[in-house]
Amino acid sequence: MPITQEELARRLRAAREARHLTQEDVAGHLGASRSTVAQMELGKRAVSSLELDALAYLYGRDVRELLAEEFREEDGLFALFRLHPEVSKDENFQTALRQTMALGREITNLERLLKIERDRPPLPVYPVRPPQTRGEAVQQGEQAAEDERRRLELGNAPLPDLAQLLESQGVRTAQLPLPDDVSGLTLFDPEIGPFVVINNRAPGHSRLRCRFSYAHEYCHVLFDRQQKAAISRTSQNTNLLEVRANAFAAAFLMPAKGVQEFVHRLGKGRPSRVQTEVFNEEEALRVEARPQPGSQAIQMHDAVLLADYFGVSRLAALYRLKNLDVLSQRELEALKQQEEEGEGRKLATLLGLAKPDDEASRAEFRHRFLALAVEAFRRDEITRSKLRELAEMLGALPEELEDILSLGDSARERAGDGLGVSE
Amino acid sequence: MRGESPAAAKVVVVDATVIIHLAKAERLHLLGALQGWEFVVPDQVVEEVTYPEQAATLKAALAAGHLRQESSTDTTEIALYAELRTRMGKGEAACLAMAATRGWLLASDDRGRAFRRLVHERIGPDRLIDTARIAEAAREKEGAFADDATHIPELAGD
Repeated sequence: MPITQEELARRLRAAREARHLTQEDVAGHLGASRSTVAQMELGKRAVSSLELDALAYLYGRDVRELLAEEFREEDGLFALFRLHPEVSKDENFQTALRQTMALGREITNLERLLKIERDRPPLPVYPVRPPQTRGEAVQQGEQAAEDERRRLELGNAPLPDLAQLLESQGVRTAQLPLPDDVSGLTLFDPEIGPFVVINNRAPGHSRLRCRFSYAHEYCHVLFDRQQKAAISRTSQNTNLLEVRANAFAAAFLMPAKGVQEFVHRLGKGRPSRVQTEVFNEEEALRVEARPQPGSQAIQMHDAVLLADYFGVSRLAALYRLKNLDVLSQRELEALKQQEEEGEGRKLATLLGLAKPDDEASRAEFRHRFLALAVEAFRRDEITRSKLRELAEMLGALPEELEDILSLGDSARERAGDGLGVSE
Repeated sequence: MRGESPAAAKVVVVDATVIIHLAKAERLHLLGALQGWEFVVPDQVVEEVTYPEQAATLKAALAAGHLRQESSTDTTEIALYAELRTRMGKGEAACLAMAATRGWLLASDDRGRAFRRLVHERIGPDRLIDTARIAEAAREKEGAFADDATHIPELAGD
């Protein structure tokens, strides 16, 4: 049963208001007058499919949602705008969110067309009250990281690809450009599901930071799904929910036991004095062992190896060692100083540790998305024109576009007539 | 069906592949010269023709009335368009939604299997034509534009 023009008009108004946009704002985006927008929202002027496409994109919605029998006013972005009203004043952020939602929907659609079954295991519930102090936030985050590792049977080993891990838990992931001070965001959209987006254009972006951000956002998925959205800004790292997410990320990536075992394997991290008592059935003999002075002190090369082992930045590794009392505050400061002077990087090179491929990491989502699009084209699920549009959404340059289309064509030719689709 | 011409003219909604082929051959005016045929382009197709020369040729053809631009405002048609958009580009989805809802023919040179399957599902194979078919219709007509039409088929399609 199609909806009436009046009902569409009402939905358009609701969708606009949910994004805190004025009719003037919308008119500016459409290149129309304010009165045209007003007429559309009063149902006095028909809305064309082209205009509806533009409006849906502007509101971060799907045209189908606006025409569905039942209209959900509260979508994934609704909560985000309610919790972070400042976003409505940030045009760059809004642009990024529109692109994020559009790509999130397209990748969801591609997976649906390709019948890729997504694991949607129910996410665990950690029934804790909102943290009241930083100490409580850290405790909650670390405890949940330990519980989550146990639940996922990860032991104390380094984590594999974080995006894959999250995807295996039914969390959709993407790396897209977001404003500079945003490291990532988490949304819960009825169609896309839990959706974690990492800023791949943040200053200092690296593959290792990205892993930390994924773990950080995963904490928001686990704890903050009641509020349905979270934006992680570097400027808000004292916010208790952010403190909890950072503590979770550090402990999830570098479990306490795993770190201790690693440090022990280096022959370090033992107390400076070990006392024990040997009992001979009559009396106890006190024995005291002292490691060689200085032998237990963590050095920069130890931190470099630890960071490489767990796939975290050297700074993240240093802070984790401090939080686990393996380093004193003074030792931490000294090692941080060395890191700032470039010693960590030099040591990593000397030790022959592979440099993380930051560019490849930045493009990871792009590759995944395009691979799905080409596959959907190869299987005749989408047309060539749709493949072109999807590539353009990711900002493919004209020459790249031709390569992508050729790739799609040759993949289809290789498939031959084996698919049995008649012309 | 809504939109069918009372004079029983064949109404054909034309996608960008046909527009581009005819524009390249400088034969867009043929569309206006074919009696008993009426050619329509959706807004999305006009938007898709982005190369400046082709866009200018299309604009001139629209101004001359060789074909006309049409919008979808019916919510049933837009709902179909939105559904087709999950598999098709904007222009072709708009064309197919119009053809399916209004009982029109669809002209396209897309030979892709996905495109053809979707068209066959929605309007059947008989309502799908291409540039070559338009040229053939032009050649069948007596008149000056019959010569024009001979230049088209080799440009159209694979």
